[in-house]
Amino acid sequence: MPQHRPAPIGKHATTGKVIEPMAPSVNAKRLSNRADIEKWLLRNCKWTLGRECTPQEKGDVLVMIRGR
Amino acid sequence: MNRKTKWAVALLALSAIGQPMWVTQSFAATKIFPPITDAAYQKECGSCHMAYPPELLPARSWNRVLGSLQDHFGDSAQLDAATQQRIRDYLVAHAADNAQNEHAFAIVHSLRANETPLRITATPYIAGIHSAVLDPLWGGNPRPKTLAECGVCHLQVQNGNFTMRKFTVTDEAFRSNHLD
Repeated sequence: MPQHRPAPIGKHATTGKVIEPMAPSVNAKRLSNRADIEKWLLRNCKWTLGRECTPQEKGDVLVMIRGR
Repeated sequence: MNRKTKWAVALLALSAIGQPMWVTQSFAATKIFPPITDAAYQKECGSCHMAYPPELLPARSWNRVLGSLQDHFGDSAQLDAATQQRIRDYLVAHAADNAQNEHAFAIVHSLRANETPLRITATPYIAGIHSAVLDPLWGGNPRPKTLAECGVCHLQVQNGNFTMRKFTVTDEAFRSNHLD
């Protein structure tokens, strides 16, 4: 399985805006604000799955990002 | 009072009260917009795209944008109610129809009363200015994928400054062989 490491710097798929690294190991600001985490999980789960994520699913995503 | 005098008085009265409001206001002819002063707007809207100067859309457009954040050009940009209201208030207060800026004025007056565009580039004034770049046959450089990031061409846009622009127009762009 290929290693999906977070690229140092990302890009918004539509607008092309530069997005700072997601991984807390590279960017200390990530996953540091509870409200921000909840906001993005709500938005991205709805966009991806068409519904809110279960607590288990949210936890899985957080563990994945933290491990990067 | 003879007839002539009556006419003169009537005309004088008309010119005094019939003055359109905008003639007496002073409008700045600048493409440098004031910096964004609302931290919530900068943070929430500026994480996926540049936080556009509110002067670039009329209040009714901002209301429509803020009312449809669940489907914001295909993405969910959902906010909590308090933040959403705060950002809406800020954008409406500084919207094109509330700004003292000639370009904002031109944006508003390029729209018909029943038009409420969601995109800045869908206002006829802005679309007209960018018509070369919006043309699918544009052969200049840079060739942006979208016009969402003003900074691709407007190099000082982070200061609200739209005067600086970077693009090159080659002779080829003006040769109309593709229109034969």
